[in-house]
Amino acid sequence: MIKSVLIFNNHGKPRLIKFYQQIDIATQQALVQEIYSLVSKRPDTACNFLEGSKLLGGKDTRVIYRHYATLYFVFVVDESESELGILDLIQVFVESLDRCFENVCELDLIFHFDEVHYILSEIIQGGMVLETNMNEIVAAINEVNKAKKKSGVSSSGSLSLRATETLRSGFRH
Amino acid sequence: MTESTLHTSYLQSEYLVSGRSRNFYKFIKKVTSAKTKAEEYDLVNNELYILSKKMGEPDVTSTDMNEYLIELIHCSLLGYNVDMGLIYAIMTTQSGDTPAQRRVGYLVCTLLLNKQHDLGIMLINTLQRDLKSTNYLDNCAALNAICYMDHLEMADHLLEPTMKTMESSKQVVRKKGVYALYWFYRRSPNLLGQVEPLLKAALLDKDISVVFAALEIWKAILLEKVELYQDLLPRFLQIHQQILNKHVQTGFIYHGVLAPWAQITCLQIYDIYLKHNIGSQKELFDFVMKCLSAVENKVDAAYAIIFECMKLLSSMDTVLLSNLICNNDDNPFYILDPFLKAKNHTMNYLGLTALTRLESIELWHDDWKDGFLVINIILSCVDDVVVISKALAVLDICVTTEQTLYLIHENMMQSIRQSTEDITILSLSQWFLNQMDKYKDNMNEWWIKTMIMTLAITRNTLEDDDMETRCATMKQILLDDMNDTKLRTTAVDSMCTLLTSRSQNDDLSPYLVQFAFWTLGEYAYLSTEDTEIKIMEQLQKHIMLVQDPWLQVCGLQAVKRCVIRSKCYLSSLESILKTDFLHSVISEKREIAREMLMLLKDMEFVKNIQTRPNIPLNDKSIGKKLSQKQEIQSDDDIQQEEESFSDFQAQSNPYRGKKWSERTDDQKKKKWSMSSLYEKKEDQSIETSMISSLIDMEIKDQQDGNDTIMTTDEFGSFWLSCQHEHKCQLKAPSSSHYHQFFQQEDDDRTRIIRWLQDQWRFNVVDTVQQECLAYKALEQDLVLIHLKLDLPFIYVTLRSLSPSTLYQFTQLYHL
Repeated sequence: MIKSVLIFNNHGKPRLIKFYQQIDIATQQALVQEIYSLVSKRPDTACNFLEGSKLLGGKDTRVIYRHYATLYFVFVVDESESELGILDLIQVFVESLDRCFENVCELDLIFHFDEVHYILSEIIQGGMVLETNMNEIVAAINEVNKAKKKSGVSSSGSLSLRATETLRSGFRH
Repeated sequence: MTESTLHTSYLQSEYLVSGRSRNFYKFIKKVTSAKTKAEEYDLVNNELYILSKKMGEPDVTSTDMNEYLIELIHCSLLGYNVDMGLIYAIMTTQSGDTPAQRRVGYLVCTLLLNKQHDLGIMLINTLQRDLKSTNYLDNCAALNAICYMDHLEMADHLLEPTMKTMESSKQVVRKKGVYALYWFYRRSPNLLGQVEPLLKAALLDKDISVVFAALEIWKAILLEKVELYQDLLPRFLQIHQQILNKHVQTGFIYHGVLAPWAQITCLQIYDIYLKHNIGSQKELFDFVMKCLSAVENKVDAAYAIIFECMKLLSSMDTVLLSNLICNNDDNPFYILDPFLKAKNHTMNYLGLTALTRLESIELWHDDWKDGFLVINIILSCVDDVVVISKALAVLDICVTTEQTLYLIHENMMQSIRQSTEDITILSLSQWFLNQMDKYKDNMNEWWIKTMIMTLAITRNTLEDDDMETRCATMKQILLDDMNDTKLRTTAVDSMCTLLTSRSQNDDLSPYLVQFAFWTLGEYAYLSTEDTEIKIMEQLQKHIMLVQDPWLQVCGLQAVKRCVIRSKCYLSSLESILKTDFLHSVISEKREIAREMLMLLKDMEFVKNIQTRPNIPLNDKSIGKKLSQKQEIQSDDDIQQEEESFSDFQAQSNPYRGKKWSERTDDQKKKKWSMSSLYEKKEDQSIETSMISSLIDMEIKDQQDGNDTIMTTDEFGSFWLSCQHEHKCQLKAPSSSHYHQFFQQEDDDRTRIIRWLQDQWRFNVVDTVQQECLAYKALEQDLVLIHLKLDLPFIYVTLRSLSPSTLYQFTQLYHL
């Protein structure tokens, strides 16, 4: 099972944080900092796997990371996952991002982090690997984007009014 | 950042695509370029305040709300609390205009909602609606969200609709449905009965994506409940076979490897079955071999499959495995060879991990068995802690004898030397020292030498207690060794090398330095490489290098022992003692300095006395010197001085330090006669007691210096007059024998002559090249001695006037 997916830059600033377990915000930040300090020390020739510290869950937790230019992509997994498999999954994730954003860069992640979340959710759901076929992943994202473009900018009425309507109608069932 | 730069940046593509507002980008840009945490804090809190106000307004459009929510996500990314936005997120899921907008709402909910949150209940209705919606995008969004919700009430309302989604025509919906169903089971395991048939059906789905998704789910279920699903194993094998037969879409081929993740999951599933003894091991073995042969590309995904195969094979029963391998052409484990020999650390790590699982070493490749390959990996990955720890685990398996340890020790020490991380040095040295401890009983020189060198290169990373214990153990070993001096010699030589190599910096553990000082102090005479003077030089250098005064005192004590033993010292010693030690604030330093200065003075004194062989010096100044000595003593020092004095007496020998070539011209000219010989009451008993010899000298002070030194001519003429001769041959002892007695500047010839003189108490007339002329008075007669040195033999010719004298001489000295 995958415990979390993190993306942060060379200075430790987070660009994406997704935890597949219930963890409060303060601990989340602490974990990100800890992983950053572990990973940033390693030279590029070192192997891409680390064993997790106590905070991360001990010996059974593995930190698998890849370093692309200014960004670190980190997957924290438990022992049931194949290390090289996850390493390739990171590659699939990055290649999907590349296809969806067209030559993805850090700025894309900063300004469109919601998109990044959606792409990730096509690959991993609930901590398990959902899809590894890049064509399928990108196709799913494109479908939603198409639907977005079709509906356009039409927004009628205030949100809260409509919300109360729906609630009322919901309870009538 | 100025407005103008902001303007131009808006034209970049990342802005144009999403159609978000300018405020949004402004905010993001400001926050990401905030220089300090305080600045960011202010910005974010400010923005959150504004947002909460804005979101609370009655007329917010859906698009705007979306944007606010996305900003909230960003703030939570940075670690700020955004719970106030939750209600709006829920509202968005309910009434967002488009599925995309509703998805944002779901996203915020999944990021922020936790178990206890009451608002989660409000989502249930929305989820229900979306699950039943005809728009598959709604289905997907809802199914996705379900996996993150954790409310118990959910099952009642949502299980049914979720199960219905499995009938959807869209594979993406069914795929997500599988996961959602799994999550229901995870939260309430009693639901297994309901969801299980659908999950089984998923394995038979017409769409391979759904099948692969189901594989993942089943792996997780089987980890807990494998006994219930023994019948599923053939189905998994079937799916795997389908992949190997290339019945998959091209999209699933990753860099030439067929559906690697699915293959890996299958292999992991087989492992679970194997561990519970379900299924035929032989069948699995054959399947694994098929799998391995299909994977030929040199890409990571292929390696991943290989690795899983190795893991699976390692779990099999070893006896069965050896049988199966024998029947096969080659050992499938040999496929790990390129992993271990690769330059890439990741490959090394995986190879080593696979080896740690393969504990039966008979199945290993011969190249791996001696651990040499592993130690080379350590050497090349010396600062990668992860690889090192795995490598040590492998070495634990294969290094079981002293021979294998010997084979790897050079590279191990090299790795410790090259490592720059303390933690690596510590783990490597501790492993190695623990291994060495196992062979302590077969004590040999290699063990001592390697232990010393290893302790030195650990560079202070070992715990003090550990270092202290090890040094104490080695000290005891050296003390206890009764057989021969080989261990001590090795220890001394190693310590010399150590101190010489560390002459520039002081980075050794103090316990090791103390041990070094002690060893050299005790056993420096055994050194095969350096003379004692050189060793003293090293000691002195090191004493000046260390800062710790206690260590300096230890060092000086070692020097003291060397000085006492070798009867000589470096000229610089005195100045060191006087400048650095004599007036130190630390009392031990002062004390040792005083002791040593006393010692040096004594030695000078004895040197001065002993410039004449056998005959006390006609030097009235001796008496003066003695009284002078007494004057210097202060009351509290007398005890100490007497002790050191008697200590020195016990070891001294008046025949040492003799320089027979030192004669005054007067004495040379004086004619030697037989009569003078008989007059002279030679007191041959001036031997060990210096006090007694001094007293004798005082007594004889009255006598005139009857210097009966024979000249060479006289000797020659006497020689010719003597009729009786006796010849014999002696063997000179080895040079180490001399060390205890004589000065360093002597050569072999001098040493041998002194050695003989020590025994026979003769007087030397002259020495020419390898020959020596001497005489000895014996019972009113004279024995003339001619020595010819032909090392290692000494040819002795004795002549005397009467045969009985000769006989007596030979009897006396066993010739």
